[in-house]
Amino acid sequence: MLKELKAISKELLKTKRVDVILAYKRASDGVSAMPCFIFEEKDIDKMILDSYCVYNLSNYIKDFPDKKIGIVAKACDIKSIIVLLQENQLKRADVVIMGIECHGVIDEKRLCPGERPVQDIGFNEKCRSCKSPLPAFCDYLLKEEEERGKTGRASEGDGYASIRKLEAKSPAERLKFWEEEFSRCIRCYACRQVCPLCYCPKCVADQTDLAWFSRASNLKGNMSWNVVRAIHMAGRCVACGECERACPVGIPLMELNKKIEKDVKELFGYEAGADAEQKPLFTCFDKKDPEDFVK
Amino acid sequence: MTDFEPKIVAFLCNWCSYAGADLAGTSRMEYPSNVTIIRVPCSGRMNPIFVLKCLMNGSDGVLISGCHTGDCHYSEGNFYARRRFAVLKSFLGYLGIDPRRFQMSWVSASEGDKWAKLIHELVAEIKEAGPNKMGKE
Amino acid sequence: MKIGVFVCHCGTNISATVDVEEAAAAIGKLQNVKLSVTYRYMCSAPGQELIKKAVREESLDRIVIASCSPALHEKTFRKCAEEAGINPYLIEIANIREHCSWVHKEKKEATRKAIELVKIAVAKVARNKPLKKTYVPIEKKVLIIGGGISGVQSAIDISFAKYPAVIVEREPSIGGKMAQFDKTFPTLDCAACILTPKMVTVSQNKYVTIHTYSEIESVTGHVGDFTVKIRKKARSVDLDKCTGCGACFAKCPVKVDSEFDMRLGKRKAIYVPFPQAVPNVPVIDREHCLWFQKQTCGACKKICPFGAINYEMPDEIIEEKFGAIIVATGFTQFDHSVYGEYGYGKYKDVITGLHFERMANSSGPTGGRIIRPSDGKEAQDVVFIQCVGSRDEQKGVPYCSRVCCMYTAKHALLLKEHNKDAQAYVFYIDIRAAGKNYEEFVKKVQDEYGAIYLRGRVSRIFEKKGKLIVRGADTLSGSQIEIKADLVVLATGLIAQGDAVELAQMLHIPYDQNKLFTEAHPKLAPAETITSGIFLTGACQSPKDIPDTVATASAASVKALGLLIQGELEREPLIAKVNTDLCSGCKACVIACPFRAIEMKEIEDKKLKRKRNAAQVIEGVCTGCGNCTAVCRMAAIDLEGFSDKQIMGEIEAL
Repeated sequence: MLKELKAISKELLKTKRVDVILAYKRASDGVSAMPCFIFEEKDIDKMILDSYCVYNLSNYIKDFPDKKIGIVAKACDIKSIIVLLQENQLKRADVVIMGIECHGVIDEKRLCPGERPVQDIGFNEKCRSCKSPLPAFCDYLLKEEEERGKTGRASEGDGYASIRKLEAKSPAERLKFWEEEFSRCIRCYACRQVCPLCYCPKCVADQTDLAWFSRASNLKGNMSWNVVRAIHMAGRCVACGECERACPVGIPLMELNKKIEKDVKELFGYEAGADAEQKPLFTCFDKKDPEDFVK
Repeated sequence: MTDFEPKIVAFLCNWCSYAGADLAGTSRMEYPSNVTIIRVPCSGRMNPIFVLKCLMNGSDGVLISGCHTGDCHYSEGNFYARRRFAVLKSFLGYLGIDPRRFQMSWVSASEGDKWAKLIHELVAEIKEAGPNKMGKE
Repeated sequence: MKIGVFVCHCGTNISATVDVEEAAAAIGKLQNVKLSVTYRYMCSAPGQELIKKAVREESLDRIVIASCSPALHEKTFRKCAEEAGINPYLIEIANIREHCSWVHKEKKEATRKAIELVKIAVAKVARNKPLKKTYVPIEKKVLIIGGGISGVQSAIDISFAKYPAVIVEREPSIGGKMAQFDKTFPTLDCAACILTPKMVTVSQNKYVTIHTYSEIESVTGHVGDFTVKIRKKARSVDLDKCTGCGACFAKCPVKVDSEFDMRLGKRKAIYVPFPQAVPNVPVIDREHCLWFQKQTCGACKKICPFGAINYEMPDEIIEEKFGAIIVATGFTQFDHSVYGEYGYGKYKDVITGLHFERMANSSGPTGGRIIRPSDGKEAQDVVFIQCVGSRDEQKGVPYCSRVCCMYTAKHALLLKEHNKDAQAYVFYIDIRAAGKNYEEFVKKVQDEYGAIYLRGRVSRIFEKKGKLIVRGADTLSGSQIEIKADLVVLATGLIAQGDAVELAQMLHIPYDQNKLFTEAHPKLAPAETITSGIFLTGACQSPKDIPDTVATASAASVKALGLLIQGELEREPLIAKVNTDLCSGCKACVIACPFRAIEMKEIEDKKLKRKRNAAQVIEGVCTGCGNCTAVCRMAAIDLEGFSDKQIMGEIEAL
């Protein structure tokens, strides 16, 4: 897969079909992957491709406005590209998507020295409910050379098991849980920085002309920030898991975002990143949207 | 808490609900004074952050009231609001916030009696939910 | 900032339960409040004088009035502020009557709440921005889509005010369905006699342009500035050269079923649909004309003394600008083929109301004789079945078509006039004769013209020995009825045109589940749509008789003229505005706007040194609903008058 990927990338740069390739290279610890931006053919050999390639490279699309971009993307990453297309943040002709077959990436929090197979380290939580090792929407589809048998990754149904567990708790228990989680938030905004869909020129959290909510890292401010970001992600979050991965204090952000993902699916039959022609969730409605909560 | 008097804020759309509340007044219907009304042009104007802000600032309850679907003065605003606030309502409950604290209603300009009845119910429900401890650091 | 607060007693309406002096005193202590006083009646002349005097003496720059609902006096106080020298949008009203003094009896609580309501208003007004009304220029021309009686009447009304109107009609002649009628109820005026003078009036009127055999191709723009592309289909006959002599269609060898005569008669391939057609210029039906199909004949061209025939004539697309659009596209008949029990397609002698009109008409295909289409014999026993397609939730439309009871009664009368020995039987569910002189008319038909009215439905029609056997119920006598009829006339309902949805989508006007165009408010704005500048008249909105159609045509015209006369449309400035610095170009607002009032514009981003697309509000179209503002995650678009700062300010003041 990597050989093919490098060949395609070289060709894209050579023909000037793209100005830059967003790819992975080996990090300084010798095992994990990190993003790299390749502008010249000679740098293509830096590229790597393995189960350490956790990052969602579409986060960097916003850093190259008006440029033509080639991007190495897993099926989950491509969904965020689709949302970016839905939201006019890039033109389809300006991105060449090299979709790669992926059977799971590591859980970065369990990273240890020395290269190991992903099954030994532990799968990233998002991979456990992944249904699509093969990307459906891409310009180039890069498949593995050998047919994979058992992936070693157990599919955990729809991925909402932990959400249901929380839903089953009492409101008081839930409040206690979230207050504990949010009290650790230091407002570093890493979750925002790593999210491909957080591209607002000036985030509401940073606006001072009208201060939407407190910037202090107290419970009130932290709760406001996290709730507002989750609401702004409604119908857009594709559950790439980067926010949770990037959070330095380990707040289970996916338990927030996936709850809304579950809700919008159940309430409106809406899935984020399904189709580039789809309208964003809150820019449309169905006359039959549920209204049992309205008096 | 028998002497707990909740502080509830209601966002009313100008064309239907605000007029409905006016009608309740013109008809001299009596209802509890716990609800403070803020006028908006349409329920579609309502940003979830407003509701969150009220709750974080200590309001015990928040109500959004607009036109019945199909009757919106701006043709569709309430359909958008309905979708947006279905998500917020479920999410607030998931965070452990008492779901009674955020409610939505459709009150038309001719439903003065519905408005009065709604306030009675709302105040009773929020009284039961108790004071909002959020935002009291 | 110097805010002046004026608390109204409203006689005792407020002061009976709210201690207005205490409230004024409490508010007077707030930051930025320079003056806080009470008065018995703020809206009165002396009350308003008080405000003006205070503005002068205390140099106030913003005003809060604590009084009745803004629904009553917001405009009054805006005007008062303007006269006092303050921008009319730097005022806010605290509703301490309908929402406070009238609904809370306990004085302490009512006063506390009144103070809170005024506090919120003060917090809001501190964040108000001075605004100026916006003006949208109006193109002084009206487009009328449809040339039936409603379109023609609209054109008459618009041109009477000396403004130009353009009628676009897709048939070769104006006149619509009314031109097909014989006589009209309840007066029995001949339809053509009352319609054609109006048709001639518009055709000769210098302010009216008529495009027949034409359709609307596209509509862009907004109120005051609609750009419309009109497709003038190729008539193959030059409108300027033709004199209407008729030599061409006299010579034409091809006979085709006449649509105007409901296929009971024939027309030629080159034809004028009816003798009083306007314009009186034929059209070539290229699908049946021998020249276009087989490149033979050409008789019309040879015989035309004026060289008006032009086989090479193409469709022409013209583009025009209009300030307002009146939709007058009318109706079509319900297709009763779904009722197999009525023998559609099987029995030639089962016809619809429009067929009957053509037969009754003396210049129609049967020369005014009511006959059986199968054998041409005079019809003696005629059964009329009402509510065919109407009031039928399963197979038809759920609504009542309003005119069928009346036209059926009329048909029963005409039948008797044409054949004095004829007998009419009317199967009905209810008789709806609500108009002026309508009830009297139906009664006359029953009493003087001997029509037999049977309350019940028809279950089956079948043929036996050359007659149509009509089996139905007579619920008032509780019996089954069987009638041997010569002719059966179905009162088919009035439904929306087949392409109504297409047109509605082109115009961006809403329609209901029956594809009838929706009015802005069913009771209070029946002639307008929610789309500014587009008005409705006639049956395309809901089935109606000729008097109502003419009335709604004039109503729509008045609405359209109201725009044109102003030359400029004054719009409240409480509309949305974009801060392009914060806009990411995601277009959520563009999609979510119910009025399509936001478009994308390329801007030069000086900070990032690149060109990018940002949203821009079309001032003339924005209605100020604020949906865009709620949808924007970046807070890049805001709504004047109910801005994020204002609402947040109100929340903080709670």
